[in-house]
Amino acid sequence: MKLIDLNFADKIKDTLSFESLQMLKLPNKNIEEFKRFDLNDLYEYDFNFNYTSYFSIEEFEYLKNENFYTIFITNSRFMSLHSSVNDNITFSSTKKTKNESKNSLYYLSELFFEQQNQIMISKSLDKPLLIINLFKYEDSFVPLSLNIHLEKNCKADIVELFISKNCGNSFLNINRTFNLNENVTLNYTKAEEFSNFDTSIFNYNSNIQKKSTLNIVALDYNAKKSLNIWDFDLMNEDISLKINAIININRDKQSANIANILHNNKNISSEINVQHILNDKSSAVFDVKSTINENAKYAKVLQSSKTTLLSDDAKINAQPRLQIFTDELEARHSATTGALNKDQLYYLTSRGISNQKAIEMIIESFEIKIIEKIENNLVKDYIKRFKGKTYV
Amino acid sequence: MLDIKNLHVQINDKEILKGLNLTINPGEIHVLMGINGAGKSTLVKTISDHYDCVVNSGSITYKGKDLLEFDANSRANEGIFMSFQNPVEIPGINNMYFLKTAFNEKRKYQNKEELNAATFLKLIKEKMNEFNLDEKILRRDLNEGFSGGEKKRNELLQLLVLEPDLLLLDEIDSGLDIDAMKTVALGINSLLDKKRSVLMITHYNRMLELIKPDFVHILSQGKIIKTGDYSLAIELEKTGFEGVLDETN
Repeated sequence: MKLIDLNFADKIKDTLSFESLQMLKLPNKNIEEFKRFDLNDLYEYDFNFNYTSYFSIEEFEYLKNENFYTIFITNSRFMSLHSSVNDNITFSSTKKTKNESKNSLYYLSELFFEQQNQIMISKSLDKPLLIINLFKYEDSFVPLSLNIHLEKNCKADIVELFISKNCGNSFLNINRTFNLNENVTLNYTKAEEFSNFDTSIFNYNSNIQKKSTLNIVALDYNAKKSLNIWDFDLMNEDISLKINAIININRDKQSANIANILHNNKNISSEINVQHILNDKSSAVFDVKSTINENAKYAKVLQSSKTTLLSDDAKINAQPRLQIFTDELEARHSATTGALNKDQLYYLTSRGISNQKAIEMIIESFEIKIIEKIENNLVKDYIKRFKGKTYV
Repeated sequence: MLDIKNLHVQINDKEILKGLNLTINPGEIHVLMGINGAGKSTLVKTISDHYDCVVNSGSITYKGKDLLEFDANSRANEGIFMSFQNPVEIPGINNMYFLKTAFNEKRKYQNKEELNAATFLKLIKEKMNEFNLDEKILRRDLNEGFSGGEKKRNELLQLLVLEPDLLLLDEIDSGLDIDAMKTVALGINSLLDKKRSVLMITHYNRMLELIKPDFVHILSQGKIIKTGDYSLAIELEKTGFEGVLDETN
């Protein structure tokens, strides 16, 4: 079935009571942010919507780590977990609550869930939580939705891996909502290894209470088309949000980071840094809008897109945008584009390292710099090893 | 080992080397001296296939092979090592990983078996202990945040690990205190086995007291205008370049 043929109106009436069907007007080229990142081919592709079977996770057991609490999620529908892996972590599928989002792709996923998957962390975790999401179906539309909820005064490190195997031509539409209570710190790392023929769309949104911090590191490599929609309304005071991401793509792959970050109280800081490495005919979009309202005094806002083009045919479209309605703030935005540093490349080759290997090493150095932003050393090491296992 | 004939090289449309001739035999230590802009660095960069240098005419023969046919990494694997005046920083590339990669690339080029991490670590630690080099630089990223002295020590470490046949030392003494200079000289001297050759650029005699040259060349306007032995360097120290240039004219 094609997404354009789905009867959304009926589905909404049955499952949710959204005020407006407009919510499900899926983005197309008429919308500014999607002008250079067309999703039309997805809406018109004949996807399989029935993929409820479970599969063995045996071949992925190597991803487990004794220094982490580990859970597996397979094909979005099944969590291979105990009811609790730790007294302070609980998993539930509860009746869906309404999450606000400006993003219709977020609602697209929500439509397919009658129950809401939620991870609740009630006290600070003594070791990181590793969530391994596995996908294994071809030509499928795979929605996945998860609320990550942290109670007051908690600190937690969460790593999510997204791995597709034998998928091909699937559309993974993944929602992540961060509900952070007061005085919470969540360090969240996402690493993906999708197949070369998949499309992944990550729809992020949040409900962050005062004095809380959300640090995100996102590593995107393989999908044919990958999109992160960062939709954050920061409504409470003393919030800190940091997003560091790396996009490393080749062939004719496409990637986009589209962000809407609203600052709507005092002492809010937000940073979004995306490093792009684009080879062959790949292309990327960095469309980030930060709005700083009148009452968002003393905000600190940073937007940065850094791009290394490895070929003449690779393209970047970077639009860091600031909408400022207050005087007392600190705001910076930048977008740089360049080729590999010739001096660095020469230094390596002058030591006998082949040109190709030297390029790989420099690219890897960009990745390492983003991985170094991960706060927890165990997570940092795990991600380096994961990358070593799956990325050459 | 190295035979340069009538070499003309330009950088950014400006001819820097204008018909340079130089022969270096195995085991010889040659020193290049000259005022800034004379073409000293251009010469060692050209031998190392630096991207800035365009060879317009002339030839460079190395171990009987036409060196100009080789790219930078092949030249290195053939045994040429240029120590950089200002080694570049590459954050994100661990120094140990870099050294091991360079070492194994050379072994691969020589059809030798690559060393695993443990064996390589043992080898490198032996070298570092021998020359009292701080092991911390192995754990850091390549030259990132290194002081001038640390960068030069790291160049020395690479020399010791890669054991080249032709050492091109571009002001390896700059930025070094006297103790560090002694360490670097000790390391370089340890490699000199009457087979390896050195082409060194320096402005100071202090390094030459530690690494005794067989030949001292004075370079001016892209050509070697005078060649002598160590005594020429001592004369230069007394009279300066102007004195020697006047004498030559």
